[in-house]
Amino acid sequence: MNNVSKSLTVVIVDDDPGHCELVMRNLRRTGVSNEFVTIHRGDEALDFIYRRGAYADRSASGDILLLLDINMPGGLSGLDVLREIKAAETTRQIPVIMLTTTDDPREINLCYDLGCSVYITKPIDPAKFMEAVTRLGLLLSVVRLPSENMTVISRE
Amino acid sequence: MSTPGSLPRSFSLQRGHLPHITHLLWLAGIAIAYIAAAQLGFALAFATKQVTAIWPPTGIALAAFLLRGNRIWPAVFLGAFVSNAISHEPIHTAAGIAIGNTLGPLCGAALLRRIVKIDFGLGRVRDVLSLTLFGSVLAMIITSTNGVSNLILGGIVPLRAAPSVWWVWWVGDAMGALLVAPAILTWFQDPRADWRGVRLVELGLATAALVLVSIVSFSTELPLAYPVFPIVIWVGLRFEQRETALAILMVSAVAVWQTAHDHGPFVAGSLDQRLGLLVTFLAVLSVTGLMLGALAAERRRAEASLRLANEELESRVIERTAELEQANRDLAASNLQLGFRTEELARKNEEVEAFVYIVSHDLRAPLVNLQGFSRELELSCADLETTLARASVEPDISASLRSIVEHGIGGALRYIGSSVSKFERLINALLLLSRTGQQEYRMETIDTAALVASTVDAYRQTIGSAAAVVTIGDLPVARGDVTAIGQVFSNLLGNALKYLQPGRPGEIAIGGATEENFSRYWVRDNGAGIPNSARPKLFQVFHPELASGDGIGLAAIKRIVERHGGRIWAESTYGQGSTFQFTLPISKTEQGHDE
Repeated sequence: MNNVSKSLTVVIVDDDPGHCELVMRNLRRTGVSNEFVTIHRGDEALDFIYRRGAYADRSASGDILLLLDINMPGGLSGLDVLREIKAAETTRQIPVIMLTTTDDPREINLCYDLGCSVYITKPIDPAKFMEAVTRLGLLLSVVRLPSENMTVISRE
Repeated sequence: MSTPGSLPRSFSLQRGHLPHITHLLWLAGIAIAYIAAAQLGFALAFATKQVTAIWPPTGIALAAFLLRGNRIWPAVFLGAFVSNAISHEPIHTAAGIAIGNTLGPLCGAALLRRIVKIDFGLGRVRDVLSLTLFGSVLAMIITSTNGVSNLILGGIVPLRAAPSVWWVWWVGDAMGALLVAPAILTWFQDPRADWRGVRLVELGLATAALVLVSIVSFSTELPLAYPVFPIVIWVGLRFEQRETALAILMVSAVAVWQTAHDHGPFVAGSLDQRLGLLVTFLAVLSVTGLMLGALAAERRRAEASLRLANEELESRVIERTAELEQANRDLAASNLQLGFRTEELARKNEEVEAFVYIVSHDLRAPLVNLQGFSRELELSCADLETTLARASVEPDISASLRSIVEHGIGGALRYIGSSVSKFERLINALLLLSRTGQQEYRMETIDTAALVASTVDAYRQTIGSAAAVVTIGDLPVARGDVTAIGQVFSNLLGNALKYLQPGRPGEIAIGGATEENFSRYWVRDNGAGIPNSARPKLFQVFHPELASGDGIGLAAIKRIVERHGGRIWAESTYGQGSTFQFTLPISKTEQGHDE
């Protein structure tokens, strides 16, 4: 569990702070000890990735993994963020895991079409939630992320 | 004249006692006409003045009584008296004759008015017949009997001559009534000279023909009396009774005149023979002509009333057609309105479903927190207990803290947990239903037999573990979305398996039949059945059984069936089993509107 690359920063983008907290806690519990950043708006997520605005002086070292919610207020949805990241050459390699409450097959397909790595539905049942996050932690542990050439996590 | 019922008595008496000036003029006119006609009658007499084939004054008297009523009797009496007095009868004989000459036409007119209610236009066959019988044949028995009596009493005619004189008298009066009265009556009834164009030409031709033929016929001694008949018949059929009556009178005048002056076909034989021939001819001519005229008039009236009825019918048909067209237009408008409504309803339904989807979806996010942090609290409590076990605390405080953590916090968390679970089930049901409503269908002809076979196959394990027997009967094809209809069968089969009666070998039958435009399917089980209390809510969204999570629920399959234009219902005996049935359209036209 501890073999997740230490330099990997897990960025949780979710408008619900509670969800961010729950994901973070459960991931920590599974042994993920990486740095966590929580962001509540889509545009701020892009600011973080592109080192601008409030995140202009962010350290450029290390890799990013994005846990992205879909429904967010403030103009940019998770789908918009995903589309922008996957459209840009420099950020296309960033692994994106969709973590949302939506289990609508159309949305799921759309996300995969846009290039997300994994799509995980947030279960309400805490046991299932735990299970999902544990799987996520396992997933993170097997990910090899070369600093310059990130491996895209294959679809399930 | 007096109308005591409606006018002041003094006034009506005054009016009654003072004859109106018009009345006096009428009296004078009738009397003069009578006397003049009598002179004409004398002029037409054969050889002796007593023998006249036609006595025109009687016709004038009959017509006058019919047209002006009984009160003109003084004119008739005066006319008759004067006429007879002029012809050198003794005064008392003239007066006696005048009484009969007044009474005869008066009685005839009374009979015709009261009993027959004669139409002065002689437009009916019965008018002509009754005028002949009552006005002429019967009424003139009075005048002739009275006249002959007076002649005998006055010593002018010997008793033995009575039958012959009576006969001649009666014939003259009867012919006068039969020939003259119709002409007067019909012209008084309709005095308009309204012939135009072709009609006028025709009338002129008929008149000319009549005059020519009459003169020729009654000038030679050859038996040529009958050529006038076709002309009178022509007039009778083509014109009104007034023209016919005038034509008959004209022919009669010529015939009588010529016969009286020893010309024409009727001059052969004795005086009586002449009279007999002439009178028979005139009577036949008159009755024939007037009868034909009456028949023609009756036919014209029938035609007119038929035409009127036709026109009325036509206008009624037009009216009704217009009403129907209006009703049709109204119906079309209502249909259009209904179409709009249906569309609006479908749109509203979609909106509601979209709304339900969004709401139920958004409601999930806080639920994740509720459950997640409940779990966090539980973990914290566990940590607290572990810490407590390690810490050195007073035993009673430790016990109290444990109780708080376990019962206080733990109990509360369990309630929160079960409520959130229930909330989640409800939201899931809503989501499923709204998704069912929004799902796009691909309509095709479904091989229902293959679909059901694969559905049953998917339940193979469940069927095996329940030791149930599933039989599949005939299954007709239907039109629909194969995935959606598969869900319907799957759900119904799942329910049947789920609610089998424990301790009884499960038997489930799936079958179908073809109705008129629909295929009907059923899933029958011998399971627990549905309690009566649960039936009304069976297909509702928040039915407790439905929210339990497996299958897509009865509300959703009802939505699917209804979107296909079908119907679903359940029959059940509690404790004995249930039968769920649904219909699907066979042809394209029966599809649901929101497909």
